[in-house]
Amino acid sequence: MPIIVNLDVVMARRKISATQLADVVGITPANLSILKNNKAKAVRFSTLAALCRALRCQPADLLEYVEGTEQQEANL
Amino acid sequence: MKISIVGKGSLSSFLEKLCWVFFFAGLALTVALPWILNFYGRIFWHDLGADYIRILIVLYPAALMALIVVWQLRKILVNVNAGNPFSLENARRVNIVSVCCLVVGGLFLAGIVPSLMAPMLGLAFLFLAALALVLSELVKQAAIYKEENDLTI
Repeated sequence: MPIIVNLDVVMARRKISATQLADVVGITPANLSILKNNKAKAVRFSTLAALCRALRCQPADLLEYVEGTEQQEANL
Repeated sequence: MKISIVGKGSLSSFLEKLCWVFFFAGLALTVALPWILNFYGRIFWHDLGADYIRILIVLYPAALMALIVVWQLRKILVNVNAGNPFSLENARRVNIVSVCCLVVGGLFLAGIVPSLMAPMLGLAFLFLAALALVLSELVKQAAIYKEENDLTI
């Protein structure tokens, strides 16, 4: 997936634990872990909005497009 | 009265247990096939003669396929009862059922068994094989959609 979720970076900057964030956002810690480990296939706007609200950041702080990753995955 | 379809103590749970009964009954019948056929032949045809071996050649692989089908169905029901009906594993199992039905259909259509019912049975099994193949694709698609849904946060 060429989209990288930089959730752990923003979480470290805000000094918030995964359990706390999951609780504030209203998702399960298991789902937050999927998101953090870049295993998610899609993110709902409502989840993204809740994350931005909880972490006081912009979607661009959480998501990053890395060129070439898609090609690497296709070659695998 | 409301019948629970899936889960513990449900209809599918009962069917899963019934599959064990069918599997062992089928196994016993497969082992006893030469004697059963002999007995059946004596009642209806007096003597099967050369057809005895020909019928056995068809019935043995067909019985083996039936056992495989029952085993696969039991495994599918185990997954259904565990709350995981749409998985790639189940799709593969339905695909195996389809192949088994195709083999049985082919055996009955090969003209080895001297019976008018054999081609009809063969066609019925070919129809079942095609149906199972479509169902396997359906389960596969559902498994892909489910994974996508599970990984949407």
